[in-house]
Amino acid sequence: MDYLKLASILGAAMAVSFGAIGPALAEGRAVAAAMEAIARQPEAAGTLSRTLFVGLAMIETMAIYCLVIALLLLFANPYVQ
Amino acid sequence: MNASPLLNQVAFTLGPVAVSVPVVVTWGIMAALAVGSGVLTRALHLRASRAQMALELIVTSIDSQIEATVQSDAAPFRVLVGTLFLFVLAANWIAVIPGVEPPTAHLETDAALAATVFVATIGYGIRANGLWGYLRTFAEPSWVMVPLNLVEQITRTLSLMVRLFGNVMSGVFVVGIVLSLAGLLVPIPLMALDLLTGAVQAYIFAILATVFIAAALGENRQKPADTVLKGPV
Amino acid sequence: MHFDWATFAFQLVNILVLMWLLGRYFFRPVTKIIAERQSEVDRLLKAAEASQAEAETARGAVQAAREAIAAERLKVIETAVGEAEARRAAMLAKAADEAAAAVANAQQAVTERLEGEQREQMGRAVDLAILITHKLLDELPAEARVTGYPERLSQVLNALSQERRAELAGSDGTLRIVAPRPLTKPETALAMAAVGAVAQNGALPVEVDAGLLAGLELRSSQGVIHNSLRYDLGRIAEALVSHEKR
Repeated sequence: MDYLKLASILGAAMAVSFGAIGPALAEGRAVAAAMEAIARQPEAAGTLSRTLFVGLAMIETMAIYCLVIALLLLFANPYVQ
Repeated sequence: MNASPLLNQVAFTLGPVAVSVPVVVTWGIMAALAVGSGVLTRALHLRASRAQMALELIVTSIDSQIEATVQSDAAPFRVLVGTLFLFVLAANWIAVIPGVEPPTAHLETDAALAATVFVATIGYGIRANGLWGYLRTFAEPSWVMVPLNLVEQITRTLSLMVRLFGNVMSGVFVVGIVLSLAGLLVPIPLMALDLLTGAVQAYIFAILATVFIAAALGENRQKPADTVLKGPV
Repeated sequence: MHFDWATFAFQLVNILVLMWLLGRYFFRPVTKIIAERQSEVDRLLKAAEASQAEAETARGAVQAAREAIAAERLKVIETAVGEAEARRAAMLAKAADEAAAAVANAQQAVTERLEGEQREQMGRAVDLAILITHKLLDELPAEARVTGYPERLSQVLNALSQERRAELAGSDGTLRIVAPRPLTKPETALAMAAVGAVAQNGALPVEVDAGLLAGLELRSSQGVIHNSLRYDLGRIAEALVSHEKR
């Protein structure tokens, strides 16, 4: 029972930590590309930033999934009663 | 943080049925939206007042977004997509009132929204192509894709649900943790960020619903730009 | 994992009800007013276009009228200029004519005056010559006034044509001899002999005219046979005048 709790906590921590790596890199790339595009075409800044925000939210969803998994492990773990 | 964020508190019981807090908050939001729109649209004029111009701006921008995605007239989808956007936006922003949790921070509300989109997608697809024509779209480009397409229908609905739920719930959760650790005024920047996240998530929810509907309407109407916004499924 | 199906059902119904509410009280009126404004704007735009076209037409008409006025003005100016030119030319011609006439008049007047003066001078010269001759003849013997003239008269008469002589002879009664002084007997005889060619019945009456100075003339209603110093002086003066003129 204690090992199960420990495994759940470790799993939650790993899910959030490793799940944050990919979205972090992706968001960095997206923002860099958007900055470059805005520098190249300042008149398209409105469209670019709107698309950027939507894209960032999409990418963030990945991290959110990981967070949900972590929360499920911590608060709604069906194996830990 | 004693209570699980996944649990619903029961506000009151109506006979055998327990009415939870998110439902009550949703009723409040519905009442506010209905009464507000009823009052604001009572005296519409050709020469628009400031409030009327704001209302018209909301409707025209919703219309333009729908038209850009569907590539046809926005009228059949305006009520569904507009209501989804306005409700999700209002539900996300209700968190600024102290003590009120957004209904979208609970899985049941998001599940209801996603189920609405799921049913509406199928309904629009059958209405546009007929039952047989709509079913045939699952076999495109070849019959091998049928199981994948069926799974995609389910997973994208689930992802729609979990995306909204995760974003809003995590915002509420983080604000709660920071409030319990740091104090009264510290989570205000996080709440401001939640407002931005809430608006973006409302926009994404409505746009994704529109994209799903556009995809169900038929291949000939689907544009490559829509697939870009499909996102993770 | 806990999923509250009652809440799910409540929220599903809530969303459908909200859809109906917003569609009924928000989207329908706002869409209607937008469509109304659109049609109103279309109508106004159409009206504006129509009025603009009208204004364009009116402007075209004004432009045409202005051009017509300008053309008219040009024509009037041209006509006026032509008229003025013609009038000026006419006036110039008239003035030139008048000037020429005045010059001619003046020239004629000068000529006339010159001629008149000349004639007057000549007349005075003739008078002076007559006076001088008169004085000179007074100093000569009285015969000198007649001598030689009867012969000359007869020569002239002989030189006349037959018809002229017959005419002179036919002027009965009025035919007479004119002398500067009463003739002596021999002189009368000589005169009668000289006019014998025209005298039908011998003697002709003799008249005295001191103006002749010297000579012997034959006068009648048909004409005069000039044969006197006075007439010769006149002829010389005339010849001199005509010579000078040339």
